Amino acid sequence: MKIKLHYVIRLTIALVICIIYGSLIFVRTSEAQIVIIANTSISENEISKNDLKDMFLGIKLKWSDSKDVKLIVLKGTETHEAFLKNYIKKRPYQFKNYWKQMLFTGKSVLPKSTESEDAVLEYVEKTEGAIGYISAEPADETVKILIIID
Amino acid sequence: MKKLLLSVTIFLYLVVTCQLFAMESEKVNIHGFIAQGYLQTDKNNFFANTIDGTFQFNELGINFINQFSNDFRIGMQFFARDIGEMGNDDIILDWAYADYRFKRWLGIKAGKVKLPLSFYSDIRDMDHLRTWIFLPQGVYHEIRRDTFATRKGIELCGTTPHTALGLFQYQAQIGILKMSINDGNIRFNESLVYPIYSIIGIEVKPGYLGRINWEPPLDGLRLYVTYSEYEYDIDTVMNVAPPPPPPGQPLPDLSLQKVKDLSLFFGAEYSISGITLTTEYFREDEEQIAINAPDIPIVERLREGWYISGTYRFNDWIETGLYYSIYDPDRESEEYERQLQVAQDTQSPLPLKFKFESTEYCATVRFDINEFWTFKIEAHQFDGTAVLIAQDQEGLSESETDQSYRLLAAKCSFNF
Repeated sequence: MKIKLHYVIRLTIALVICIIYGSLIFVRTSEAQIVIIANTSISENEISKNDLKDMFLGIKLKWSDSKDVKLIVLKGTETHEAFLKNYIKKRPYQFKNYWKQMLFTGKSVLPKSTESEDAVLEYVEKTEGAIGYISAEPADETVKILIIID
Repeated sequence: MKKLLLSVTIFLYLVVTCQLFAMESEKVNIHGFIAQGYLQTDKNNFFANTIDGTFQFNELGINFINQFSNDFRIGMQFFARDIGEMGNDDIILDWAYADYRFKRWLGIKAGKVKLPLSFYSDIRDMDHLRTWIFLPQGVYHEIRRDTFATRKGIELCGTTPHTALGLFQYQAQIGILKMSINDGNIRFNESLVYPIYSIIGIEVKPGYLGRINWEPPLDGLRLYVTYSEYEYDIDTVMNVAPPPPPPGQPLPDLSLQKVKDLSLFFGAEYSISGITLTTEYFREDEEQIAINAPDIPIVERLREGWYISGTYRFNDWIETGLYYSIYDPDRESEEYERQLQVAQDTQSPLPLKFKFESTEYCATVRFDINEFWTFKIEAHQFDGTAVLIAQDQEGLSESETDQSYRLLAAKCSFNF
Protein backbone atom coordinates (compact mmCIF):
# COMPACT_ATOMS: atom_id res chain seq x y z
CA MET A 1 0.00 0.00 0.00
CA LYS A 2 1.34 3.40 -0.94
CA ILE A 3 0.90 6.17 1.55
CA LYS A 4 1.21 9.73 0.31
CA LEU A 5 3.14 11.03 3.24
CA HIS A 6 2.65 14.69 2.54
CA TYR A 7 -1.11 14.23 2.65
CA VAL A 8 -0.87 12.42 5.96
CA ILE A 9 1.31 15.17 7.36
CA ARG A 10 -1.12 17.85 6.26
CA LEU A 11 -4.02 15.91 7.71
CA THR A 12 -2.20 15.47 10.98
CA ILE A 13 -1.38 19.16 11.19
CA ALA A 14 -4.99 20.01 10.49
CA LEU A 15 -6.16 17.70 13.26
CA VAL A 16 -3.64 19.12 15.70
CA ILE A 17 -4.80 22.62 14.93
CA CYS A 18 -8.36 21.54 15.55
CA ILE A 19 -7.40 19.99 18.88
CA ILE A 20 -5.50 23.09 20.01
CA TYR A 21 -8.31 25.34 18.90
CA GLY A 22 -10.84 23.17 20.56
CA SER A 23 -8.99 23.01 23.84
CA LEU A 24 -8.55 26.77 23.92
CA ILE A 25 -11.99 28.00 23.06
CA PHE A 26 -14.02 26.08 25.50
CA VAL A 27 -14.44 25.44 28.31
CA ARG A 28 -17.05 26.90 30.44
CA THR A 29 -17.04 25.12 33.71
CA SER A 30 -20.63 24.54 34.48
CA GLU A 31 -21.15 26.23 37.81
CA ALA A 32 -24.94 25.85 37.92
CA GLN A 33 -26.21 24.11 41.02
CA ILE A 34 -27.76 20.72 40.35
CA VAL A 35 -30.32 19.11 42.61
CA ILE A 36 -31.30 15.52 41.85
CA ILE A 37 -34.93 14.85 42.70
CA ALA A 38 -36.94 11.65 42.71
CA ASN A 39 -40.46 10.47 43.33
CA THR A 40 -41.20 9.88 47.02
CA SER A 41 -42.19 6.26 46.27
CA ILE A 42 -38.59 5.12 45.85
CA SER A 43 -36.68 3.84 48.86
CA GLU A 44 -33.26 5.31 48.07
CA ASN A 45 -32.12 8.51 49.78
CA GLU A 46 -28.78 8.67 47.99
CA ILE A 47 -27.45 7.64 44.62
CA SER A 48 -23.93 6.98 43.36
CA LYS A 49 -22.51 8.91 40.44
CA ASN A 50 -22.19 5.69 38.47
CA ASP A 51 -25.81 4.74 39.08
CA LEU A 52 -26.98 8.24 38.17
CA LYS A 53 -25.02 8.12 34.93
CA ASP A 54 -26.24 4.62 34.12
CA MET A 55 -29.85 5.65 34.69
CA PHE A 56 -29.65 8.62 32.36
CA LEU A 57 -27.95 6.46 29.71
CA GLY A 58 -30.59 3.76 29.90
CA ILE A 59 -28.23 1.17 31.36
CA LYS A 60 -29.69 0.97 34.87
CA LEU A 61 -33.39 0.39 34.37
CA LYS A 62 -34.68 -0.39 37.87
CA TRP A 63 -34.55 1.02 41.37
CA SER A 64 -33.51 -1.30 44.22
CA ASP A 65 -37.17 -2.17 44.81
CA SER A 66 -37.56 -3.16 41.11
CA LYS A 67 -39.63 -0.11 40.18
CA ASP A 68 -38.96 1.15 36.66
CA VAL A 69 -36.70 4.20 36.44
CA LYS A 70 -38.67 6.99 34.76
CA LEU A 71 -36.41 9.71 33.42
CA ILE A 72 -37.21 13.33 32.73
CA VAL A 73 -34.63 15.48 30.99
CA LEU A 74 -34.47 19.26 31.28
CA LYS A 75 -33.29 20.26 27.82
CA GLY A 76 -31.97 23.55 26.45
CA THR A 77 -30.94 25.06 29.78
CA GLU A 78 -27.72 25.77 31.65
CA THR A 79 -28.91 23.32 34.31
CA HIS A 80 -29.17 20.60 31.66
CA GLU A 81 -25.72 21.39 30.32
CA ALA A 82 -24.21 21.40 33.81
CA PHE A 83 -25.92 18.12 34.72
CA LEU A 84 -24.62 16.44 31.57
CA LYS A 85 -21.10 17.78 32.02
CA ASN A 86 -20.81 16.92 35.71
CA TYR A 87 -22.60 13.56 35.85
CA ILE A 88 -23.08 12.09 32.36
CA LYS A 89 -19.79 13.33 30.88
CA LYS A 90 -21.43 14.28 27.59
CA ARG A 91 -22.28 17.49 25.83
CA PRO A 92 -25.96 18.18 24.97
CA TYR A 93 -25.55 17.19 21.32
CA GLN A 94 -23.79 13.96 22.33
CA PHE A 95 -26.52 13.14 24.83
CA LYS A 96 -29.24 13.83 22.25
CA ASN A 97 -27.41 11.74 19.67
CA TYR A 98 -26.91 8.90 22.15
CA TRP A 99 -30.63 8.64 22.83
CA LYS A 100 -31.53 8.91 19.15
CA GLN A 101 -29.18 6.02 18.47
CA MET A 102 -30.95 4.02 21.16
CA LEU A 103 -34.31 4.91 19.61
CA PHE A 104 -33.51 4.18 15.98
CA THR A 105 -31.93 0.82 16.80
CA GLY A 106 -34.87 -0.23 18.95
CA LYS A 107 -32.96 -0.34 22.22
CA SER A 108 -35.15 2.19 23.99
CA VAL A 109 -37.71 4.93 23.65
CA LEU A 110 -36.69 8.53 24.29
CA PRO A 111 -36.81 9.82 27.85
CA LYS A 112 -39.43 12.44 28.59
CA SER A 113 -38.09 15.95 28.14
CA THR A 114 -39.14 19.49 28.94
CA GLU A 115 -37.67 22.98 29.07
CA SER A 116 -39.44 23.89 32.30
CA GLU A 117 -38.25 23.10 35.82
CA ASP A 118 -41.85 23.35 37.02
CA ALA A 119 -42.75 20.61 34.57
CA VAL A 120 -39.89 18.50 35.91
CA LEU A 121 -41.14 18.94 39.46
CA GLU A 122 -44.68 18.07 38.49
CA TYR A 123 -43.66 14.95 36.57
CA VAL A 124 -41.37 13.67 39.32
CA GLU A 125 -44.00 14.32 41.95
CA LYS A 126 -46.72 12.45 40.10
CA THR A 127 -44.80 9.60 38.47
CA GLU A 128 -43.77 6.53 40.39
CA GLY A 129 -40.07 5.83 39.94
CA ALA A 130 -39.34 9.19 38.35
CA ILE A 131 -35.99 10.97 38.60
CA GLY A 132 -34.98 14.38 37.30
CA TYR A 133 -32.80 17.38 38.04
CA ILE A 134 -33.41 21.06 38.74
CA SER A 135 -31.30 24.07 39.66
CA ALA A 136 -32.50 24.67 43.22
CA GLU A 137 -34.03 22.77 46.07
CA PRO A 138 -37.82 22.66 45.81
CA ALA A 139 -39.81 24.73 48.22
CA ASP A 140 -41.85 21.83 49.55
CA GLU A 141 -41.36 18.11 50.15
CA THR A 142 -43.50 16.78 47.34
CA VAL A 143 -40.35 15.20 45.84
CA LYS A 144 -37.32 13.56 47.40
CA ILE A 145 -33.85 15.05 47.08
CA LEU A 146 -31.22 12.41 46.41
CA ILE A 147 -27.73 12.88 47.82
CA ILE A 148 -24.96 12.14 45.33
CA ILE A 149 -22.23 9.85 46.61
CA ASP A 150 -19.08 8.64 44.87
CA MET B 1 -46.55 1.19 -5.04
CA LYS B 2 -45.27 0.45 -1.55
CA LYS B 3 -42.69 3.20 -1.89
CA LEU B 4 -45.33 5.67 -2.95
CA LEU B 5 -47.65 4.66 -0.12
CA LEU B 6 -44.97 5.08 2.54
CA SER B 7 -43.80 8.40 1.10
CA VAL B 8 -47.32 9.80 0.90
CA THR B 9 -48.13 8.61 4.41
CA ILE B 10 -45.09 10.32 5.87
CA PHE B 11 -45.67 13.49 3.82
CA LEU B 12 -49.35 13.76 4.78
CA TYR B 13 -48.52 13.25 8.41
CA LEU B 14 -46.08 16.16 8.29
CA VAL B 15 -48.44 18.42 6.37
CA VAL B 16 -51.57 17.75 8.40
CA THR B 17 -49.94 18.16 11.78
CA CYS B 18 -48.03 21.31 10.71
CA GLN B 19 -45.57 20.62 13.47
CA LEU B 20 -42.43 18.59 13.50
CA PHE B 21 -42.90 16.28 16.44
CA ALA B 22 -42.91 12.59 16.87
CA MET B 23 -46.03 10.73 17.79
CA GLU B 24 -45.95 9.16 21.19
CA SER B 25 -48.96 7.64 22.80
CA GLU B 26 -48.89 5.97 26.16
CA LYS B 27 -47.96 2.72 24.53
CA VAL B 28 -46.61 3.09 21.00
CA ASN B 29 -43.80 5.42 20.03
CA ILE B 30 -43.55 6.35 16.35
CA HIS B 31 -40.47 8.01 14.90
CA GLY B 32 -38.90 8.26 11.48
CA PHE B 33 -36.51 9.93 9.10
CA ILE B 34 -36.14 11.00 5.49
CA ALA B 35 -32.89 11.88 3.72
CA GLN B 36 -32.26 13.08 0.18
CA GLY B 37 -28.82 13.57 -1.30
CA TYR B 38 -26.89 14.48 -4.43
CA LEU B 39 -23.71 12.84 -5.72
CA GLN B 40 -21.21 13.94 -8.34
CA THR B 41 -17.86 12.44 -9.35
CA ASP B 42 -15.31 13.75 -11.82
CA LYS B 43 -14.30 10.25 -12.92
CA ASN B 44 -15.86 6.79 -12.50
CA ASN B 45 -19.30 5.96 -11.17
CA PHE B 46 -19.57 5.71 -7.38
CA PHE B 47 -22.37 3.12 -6.96
CA ALA B 48 -24.72 5.21 -9.10
CA ASN B 49 -24.49 7.27 -12.28
CA THR B 50 -22.48 9.87 -10.41
CA ILE B 51 -20.30 11.01 -13.28
CA ASP B 52 -23.37 12.81 -14.66
CA GLY B 53 -24.53 13.87 -11.20
CA THR B 54 -27.43 12.08 -9.58
CA PHE B 55 -30.19 12.54 -7.03
CA GLN B 56 -30.63 8.75 -6.95
CA PHE B 57 -29.51 8.82 -3.34
CA ASN B 58 -32.08 8.73 -0.57
CA GLU B 59 -33.19 6.92 2.58
CA LEU B 60 -36.40 6.87 4.56
CA GLY B 61 -37.59 4.93 7.54
CA ILE B 62 -40.27 4.73 10.18
CA ASN B 63 -40.23 2.81 13.45
CA PHE B 64 -42.78 1.70 16.01
CA ILE B 65 -41.80 0.76 19.55
CA ASN B 66 -44.12 -0.46 22.28
CA GLN B 67 -42.35 -0.30 25.64
CA PHE B 68 -44.33 -2.45 28.06
CA SER B 69 -41.84 -1.80 30.85
CA ASN B 70 -38.20 -0.72 31.13
CA ASP B 71 -37.09 -4.31 30.70
CA PHE B 72 -39.46 -5.43 27.93
CA ARG B 73 -40.18 -3.81 24.59
CA ILE B 74 -41.15 -4.81 21.08
CA GLY B 75 -40.33 -2.70 18.07
CA MET B 76 -39.86 -2.63 14.34
CA GLN B 77 -38.47 -0.30 11.73
CA PHE B 78 -39.31 -0.17 8.04
CA PHE B 79 -36.65 1.21 5.77
CA ALA B 80 -36.09 2.05 2.11
CA ARG B 81 -33.09 3.47 0.35
CA ASP B 82 -31.81 4.06 -3.15
CA ILE B 83 -28.32 4.51 -4.50
CA GLY B 84 -27.75 3.33 -8.04
CA GLU B 85 -28.97 -0.23 -8.32
CA MET B 86 -28.94 -0.78 -4.57
CA GLY B 87 -32.18 -0.52 -2.69
CA ASN B 88 -34.36 0.97 -5.43
CA ASP B 89 -36.63 2.34 -2.68
CA ASP B 90 -37.90 -1.15 -1.94
CA ILE B 91 -39.41 -1.12 1.53
CA ILE B 92 -37.79 -3.66 3.79
CA LEU B 93 -38.17 -4.64 7.39
CA ASP B 94 -34.98 -3.11 8.77
CA TRP B 95 -35.28 -4.55 12.27
CA ALA B 96 -38.01 -6.13 14.33
CA TYR B 97 -37.43 -7.76 17.64
CA ALA B 98 -38.53 -8.34 21.18
CA ASP B 99 -36.07 -7.20 23.84
CA TYR B 100 -36.21 -8.48 27.41
CA ARG B 101 -33.73 -7.73 30.18
CA PHE B 102 -33.56 -10.32 32.92
CA LYS B 103 -30.73 -8.58 34.74
CA ARG B 104 -28.32 -5.74 34.02
CA TRP B 105 -25.83 -8.37 32.88
CA LEU B 106 -28.23 -10.52 30.85
CA GLY B 107 -30.76 -9.55 28.24
CA ILE B 108 -32.13 -11.31 25.19
CA LYS B 109 -33.30 -10.05 21.83
CA ALA B 110 -35.12 -12.27 19.35
CA GLY B 111 -36.15 -11.46 15.82
CA LYS B 112 -34.40 -9.41 13.18
CA VAL B 113 -31.61 -7.62 15.04
CA LYS B 114 -29.04 -5.07 13.93
CA LEU B 115 -25.48 -6.28 13.40
CA PRO B 116 -23.14 -4.59 15.90
CA LEU B 117 -19.94 -5.10 13.92
CA SER B 118 -18.39 -1.68 14.53
CA PHE B 119 -19.07 1.80 15.93
CA TYR B 120 -21.49 2.83 13.20
CA SER B 121 -22.67 -0.47 11.69
CA ASP B 122 -26.04 -0.50 13.42
CA ILE B 123 -26.79 3.18 12.74
CA ARG B 124 -25.34 3.62 9.25
CA ASP B 125 -28.79 3.74 7.67
CA MET B 126 -29.66 6.86 9.69
CA ASP B 127 -27.86 9.86 8.21
CA HIS B 128 -28.75 12.18 11.10
CA LEU B 129 -26.90 9.99 13.63
CA ARG B 130 -23.41 10.56 12.25
CA THR B 131 -21.16 13.36 11.04
CA TRP B 132 -20.43 11.98 7.57
CA ILE B 133 -22.59 11.36 4.56
CA PHE B 134 -20.38 8.40 3.63
CA LEU B 135 -18.62 6.56 6.39
CA PRO B 136 -14.95 5.71 5.72
CA GLN B 137 -14.96 3.15 2.92
CA GLY B 138 -11.94 1.40 4.42
CA VAL B 139 -14.19 -0.12 7.06
CA TYR B 140 -17.72 0.76 5.88
CA HIS B 141 -17.70 -0.33 2.25
CA GLU B 142 -20.95 1.04 0.86
CA ILE B 143 -21.57 -1.87 -1.48
CA ARG B 144 -21.74 -4.30 1.43
CA ARG B 145 -23.97 -2.18 3.63
CA ASP B 146 -27.23 -4.05 3.09
CA THR B 147 -25.63 -7.44 3.75
CA PHE B 148 -24.10 -6.44 7.07
CA ALA B 149 -27.12 -4.60 8.44
CA THR B 150 -29.23 -7.21 10.20
CA ARG B 151 -29.46 -10.83 11.16
CA LYS B 152 -32.46 -13.02 11.93
CA GLY B 153 -31.70 -14.75 15.15
CA ILE B 154 -31.05 -14.26 18.82
CA GLU B 155 -28.78 -11.92 20.71
CA LEU B 156 -27.64 -12.10 24.29
CA CYS B 157 -26.35 -8.86 25.77
CA GLY B 158 -25.48 -7.27 29.05
CA THR B 159 -23.47 -4.74 31.00
CA THR B 160 -21.11 -5.34 33.91
CA PRO B 161 -21.13 -3.28 37.09
CA HIS B 162 -18.64 -0.43 37.29
CA THR B 163 -15.22 -1.58 38.47
CA ALA B 164 -11.72 -0.14 38.72
CA LEU B 165 -11.27 -1.22 35.08
CA GLY B 166 -14.37 0.66 33.98
CA LEU B 167 -17.44 -0.76 32.27
CA PHE B 168 -17.79 -3.75 29.95
CA GLN B 169 -20.69 -4.59 27.67
CA TYR B 170 -21.08 -7.72 25.58
CA GLN B 171 -23.22 -8.83 22.64
CA ALA B 172 -23.39 -12.38 21.27
CA GLN B 173 -25.51 -13.22 18.25
CA ILE B 174 -26.39 -16.35 16.32
CA GLY B 175 -28.59 -16.42 13.27
CA ILE B 176 -28.73 -15.90 9.54
CA LEU B 177 -27.61 -12.82 7.64
CA LYS B 178 -30.10 -11.36 5.22
CA MET B 179 -28.58 -11.93 1.80
CA SER B 180 -30.08 -12.12 -1.68
CA ILE B 181 -28.61 -12.23 -5.15
CA ASN B 182 -29.41 -8.53 -5.55
CA ASP B 183 -27.41 -7.55 -2.45
CA GLY B 184 -24.39 -5.33 -2.73
CA ASN B 185 -22.14 -8.00 -1.25
CA ILE B 186 -23.11 -10.42 -4.02
CA ARG B 187 -22.56 -7.75 -6.69
CA PHE B 188 -19.17 -7.12 -5.10
CA ASN B 189 -18.34 -10.83 -5.25
CA GLU B 190 -19.29 -10.84 -8.94
CA SER B 191 -17.23 -7.70 -9.47
CA LEU B 192 -14.07 -9.44 -8.28
CA VAL B 193 -14.26 -11.90 -11.18
CA TYR B 194 -16.28 -9.74 -13.56
CA PRO B 195 -17.45 -10.76 -16.08
CA ILE B 196 -16.72 -14.45 -15.62
CA TYR B 197 -19.88 -15.49 -13.80
CA SER B 198 -23.15 -14.23 -12.38
CA ILE B 199 -24.66 -15.42 -9.13
CA ILE B 200 -28.19 -16.73 -9.61
CA GLY B 201 -28.93 -18.37 -6.27
CA ILE B 202 -27.83 -18.14 -2.67
CA GLU B 203 -28.33 -20.13 0.51
CA VAL B 204 -27.12 -18.57 3.75
CA LYS B 205 -25.98 -20.75 6.62
CA PRO B 206 -26.22 -19.77 10.30
CA GLY B 207 -23.41 -17.56 11.50
CA TYR B 208 -22.46 -15.89 14.73
CA LEU B 209 -20.91 -12.78 16.18
CA GLY B 210 -19.38 -11.71 19.48
CA ARG B 211 -18.56 -8.19 20.60
CA ILE B 212 -17.03 -6.66 23.73
CA ASN B 213 -17.29 -2.92 24.45
CA TRP B 214 -14.99 -1.38 27.04
CA GLU B 215 -15.29 2.03 28.66
CA PRO B 216 -12.14 2.50 30.74
CA PRO B 217 -12.18 4.84 33.74
CA LEU B 218 -11.19 7.78 31.51
CA ASP B 219 -14.09 9.98 30.51
CA GLY B 220 -14.69 10.07 26.78
CA LEU B 221 -12.77 6.90 25.89
CA ARG B 222 -14.40 3.76 24.53
CA LEU B 223 -13.07 0.69 22.73
CA TYR B 224 -14.48 -2.48 21.22
CA VAL B 225 -13.54 -5.73 19.52
CA THR B 226 -15.87 -7.84 17.35
CA TYR B 227 -15.48 -11.30 15.83
CA SER B 228 -17.87 -12.56 13.17
CA GLU B 229 -18.27 -15.73 11.12
CA TYR B 230 -20.74 -16.51 8.36
CA GLU B 231 -21.05 -18.82 5.38
CA TYR B 232 -23.17 -19.09 2.27
CA ASP B 233 -23.48 -21.22 -0.87
CA ILE B 234 -23.94 -19.64 -4.28
CA ASP B 235 -25.20 -20.97 -7.60
CA THR B 236 -23.46 -19.39 -10.56
CA VAL B 237 -23.84 -19.27 -14.32
CA MET B 238 -20.84 -18.65 -16.53
CA ASN B 239 -20.92 -15.53 -18.70
CA VAL B 240 -17.69 -16.18 -20.56
CA ALA B 241 -15.55 -19.22 -21.18
CA PRO B 242 -13.31 -19.89 -18.16
CA PRO B 243 -9.55 -20.20 -18.57
CA PRO B 244 -8.73 -23.45 -20.39
CA PRO B 245 -7.87 -26.34 -18.04
CA PRO B 246 -4.56 -28.20 -18.27
CA PRO B 247 -4.47 -30.72 -21.12
CA GLY B 248 -6.46 -33.88 -20.48
CA GLN B 249 -8.53 -32.39 -17.69
CA PRO B 250 -12.26 -31.61 -17.95
CA LEU B 251 -13.68 -28.14 -17.77
CA PRO B 252 -14.19 -27.35 -14.08
CA ASP B 253 -17.76 -27.10 -12.78
CA LEU B 254 -18.01 -23.73 -11.00
CA SER B 255 -21.80 -23.74 -10.74
CA LEU B 256 -21.90 -24.32 -6.98
CA GLN B 257 -19.51 -22.54 -4.63
CA LYS B 258 -19.17 -22.11 -0.90
CA VAL B 259 -17.99 -18.87 0.71
CA LYS B 260 -16.70 -18.79 4.28
CA ASP B 261 -15.98 -15.50 5.95
CA LEU B 262 -14.21 -14.64 9.22
CA SER B 263 -14.03 -10.99 10.22
CA LEU B 264 -12.36 -9.08 13.04
CA PHE B 265 -13.08 -5.45 13.95
CA PHE B 266 -11.28 -3.16 16.44
CA GLY B 267 -12.14 0.39 17.31
CA ALA B 268 -11.23 3.20 19.67
CA GLU B 269 -12.81 6.59 20.19
CA TYR B 270 -11.90 9.52 22.44
CA SER B 271 -14.02 12.61 22.95
CA ILE B 272 -13.03 15.77 24.76
CA SER B 273 -14.18 19.37 24.52
CA GLY B 274 -16.21 18.93 21.35
CA ILE B 275 -13.46 16.98 19.59
CA THR B 276 -13.91 13.30 18.79
CA LEU B 277 -11.03 11.20 17.51
CA THR B 278 -11.89 7.77 16.15
CA THR B 279 -10.00 4.92 14.58
CA GLU B 280 -11.25 1.53 13.43
CA TYR B 281 -9.63 -1.47 11.78
CA PHE B 282 -11.10 -4.53 10.15
CA ARG B 283 -9.68 -7.73 8.76
CA GLU B 284 -11.66 -10.24 6.72
CA ASP B 285 -10.46 -13.71 5.72
CA GLU B 286 -12.62 -15.22 3.01
CA GLU B 287 -12.45 -18.63 1.34
CA GLN B 288 -14.32 -19.47 -1.83
CA ILE B 289 -14.55 -23.15 -2.70
CA ALA B 290 -15.89 -24.74 -5.90
CA ILE B 291 -17.88 -27.59 -4.39
CA ASN B 292 -18.14 -29.64 -7.60
CA ALA B 293 -14.55 -29.03 -8.67
CA PRO B 294 -12.25 -30.17 -5.86
CA ASP B 295 -9.21 -29.79 -8.11
CA ILE B 296 -9.79 -26.06 -8.39
CA PRO B 297 -7.63 -24.31 -5.76
CA ILE B 298 -9.48 -22.63 -2.92
CA VAL B 299 -9.60 -18.90 -3.50
CA GLU B 300 -8.38 -17.15 -0.37
CA ARG B 301 -8.93 -13.45 0.02
CA LEU B 302 -7.64 -11.24 2.76
CA ARG B 303 -9.23 -7.83 3.05
CA GLU B 304 -8.08 -5.15 5.45
CA GLY B 305 -9.12 -1.62 6.03
CA TRP B 306 -8.76 1.12 8.58
CA TYR B 307 -9.35 4.80 9.11
CA ILE B 308 -8.63 7.65 11.45
CA SER B 309 -11.02 10.54 11.82
CA GLY B 310 -11.50 13.72 13.77
CA THR B 311 -14.65 15.75 14.24
CA TYR B 312 -15.16 19.06 15.96
CA ARG B 313 -18.48 20.46 17.15
CA PHE B 314 -18.29 24.28 17.12
CA ASN B 315 -21.74 24.89 18.55
CA ASP B 316 -25.27 23.50 18.47
CA TRP B 317 -25.61 23.89 14.75
CA ILE B 318 -22.25 23.29 13.05
CA GLU B 319 -19.82 20.41 13.09
CA THR B 320 -16.84 19.61 10.86
CA GLY B 321 -14.89 16.44 10.26
CA LEU B 322 -11.89 14.97 8.48
CA TYR B 323 -10.90 11.38 7.87
CA TYR B 324 -8.25 9.31 6.13
CA SER B 325 -9.15 5.76 5.16
CA ILE B 326 -7.47 2.82 3.46
CA TYR B 327 -9.20 -0.20 1.93
CA ASP B 328 -6.96 -2.99 0.77
CA PRO B 329 -8.95 -5.96 -0.44
CA ASP B 330 -6.14 -8.06 -1.85
CA ARG B 331 -3.16 -7.80 0.39
CA GLU B 332 -1.65 -11.12 -0.64
CA SER B 333 0.29 -10.64 -3.86
CA GLU B 334 -0.57 -14.13 -5.12
CA GLU B 335 -4.27 -13.28 -5.16
CA TYR B 336 -3.51 -9.94 -6.77
CA GLU B 337 -1.60 -11.67 -9.53
CA ARG B 338 -4.38 -14.23 -9.93
CA GLN B 339 -6.99 -11.48 -10.31
CA LEU B 340 -4.88 -9.79 -12.95
CA GLN B 341 -4.51 -13.10 -14.78
CA VAL B 342 -8.28 -13.61 -14.69
CA ALA B 343 -8.81 -10.14 -16.13
CA GLN B 344 -6.32 -10.79 -18.90
CA ASP B 345 -7.82 -14.19 -19.77
CA THR B 346 -11.32 -12.75 -20.07
CA GLN B 347 -9.98 -9.80 -22.08
CA SER B 348 -11.88 -7.44 -19.84
CA PRO B 349 -10.28 -4.00 -19.99
CA LEU B 350 -11.88 -2.62 -16.88
CA PRO B 351 -10.22 -4.57 -14.06
CA LEU B 352 -6.77 -4.03 -15.53
CA LYS B 353 -7.12 -0.31 -15.03
CA PHE B 354 -8.05 -0.62 -11.38
CA LYS B 355 -5.67 -0.94 -8.51
CA PHE B 356 -6.70 -3.36 -5.82
CA GLU B 357 -6.70 -0.83 -3.00
CA SER B 358 -8.24 2.50 -2.23
CA THR B 359 -7.11 5.43 -0.13
CA GLU B 360 -9.63 8.08 0.75
CA TYR B 361 -9.54 11.58 2.17
CA CYS B 362 -12.74 13.25 3.28
CA ALA B 363 -13.75 16.63 4.66
CA THR B 364 -17.29 17.33 5.75
CA VAL B 365 -19.42 20.06 7.26
CA ARG B 366 -22.66 19.32 9.04
CA PHE B 367 -25.31 21.94 9.79
CA ASP B 368 -27.99 21.14 12.38
CA ILE B 369 -30.59 23.68 11.28
CA ASN B 370 -32.79 22.69 14.21
CA GLU B 371 -33.52 19.60 16.24
CA PHE B 372 -35.07 17.89 13.22
CA TRP B 373 -33.27 19.16 10.11
CA THR B 374 -29.68 18.43 9.13
CA PHE B 375 -27.72 19.43 6.04
CA LYS B 376 -24.29 18.10 5.13
CA ILE B 377 -21.82 18.73 2.39
CA GLU B 378 -18.62 16.78 1.93
CA ALA B 379 -15.77 16.16 -0.46
CA HIS B 380 -13.84 12.95 -1.03
CA GLN B 381 -10.56 12.32 -2.80
CA PHE B 382 -9.97 8.68 -3.77
CA ASP B 383 -6.78 7.08 -5.03
CA GLY B 384 -7.40 3.53 -6.18
CA THR B 385 -10.69 2.06 -7.19
CA ALA B 386 -11.02 -1.06 -5.04
CA VAL B 387 -14.30 0.13 -3.51
CA LEU B 388 -15.94 0.59 -6.91
CA ILE B 389 -17.96 -1.99 -8.78
CA ALA B 390 -16.71 -2.96 -12.22
CA GLN B 391 -20.27 -3.40 -13.52
CA ASP B 392 -21.05 0.24 -12.69
CA GLN B 393 -18.27 1.43 -15.01
CA GLU B 394 -19.77 -0.24 -18.09
CA GLY B 395 -20.41 2.29 -20.81
CA LEU B 396 -17.84 4.79 -19.56
CA SER B 397 -15.18 5.85 -22.00
CA GLU B 398 -11.49 5.50 -21.27
CA SER B 399 -11.26 9.19 -20.41
CA GLU B 400 -14.09 8.88 -17.87
CA THR B 401 -12.33 6.29 -15.72
CA ASP B 402 -9.23 6.84 -13.66
CA GLN B 403 -7.34 5.58 -10.65
CA SER B 404 -7.88 8.91 -8.89
CA TYR B 405 -11.24 10.56 -8.64
CA ARG B 406 -13.20 13.01 -6.53
CA LEU B 407 -16.69 12.78 -5.10
CA LEU B 408 -18.91 15.65 -3.99
CA ALA B 409 -21.83 14.69 -1.80
CA ALA B 410 -24.61 16.82 -0.32
CA LYS B 411 -27.48 15.58 1.80
CA CYS B 412 -30.46 16.94 3.66
CA SER B 413 -32.17 14.82 6.30
CA PHE B 414 -35.16 15.18 8.53
CA ASN B 415 -35.94 13.08 11.60
CA PHE B 416 -38.85 13.08 13.96
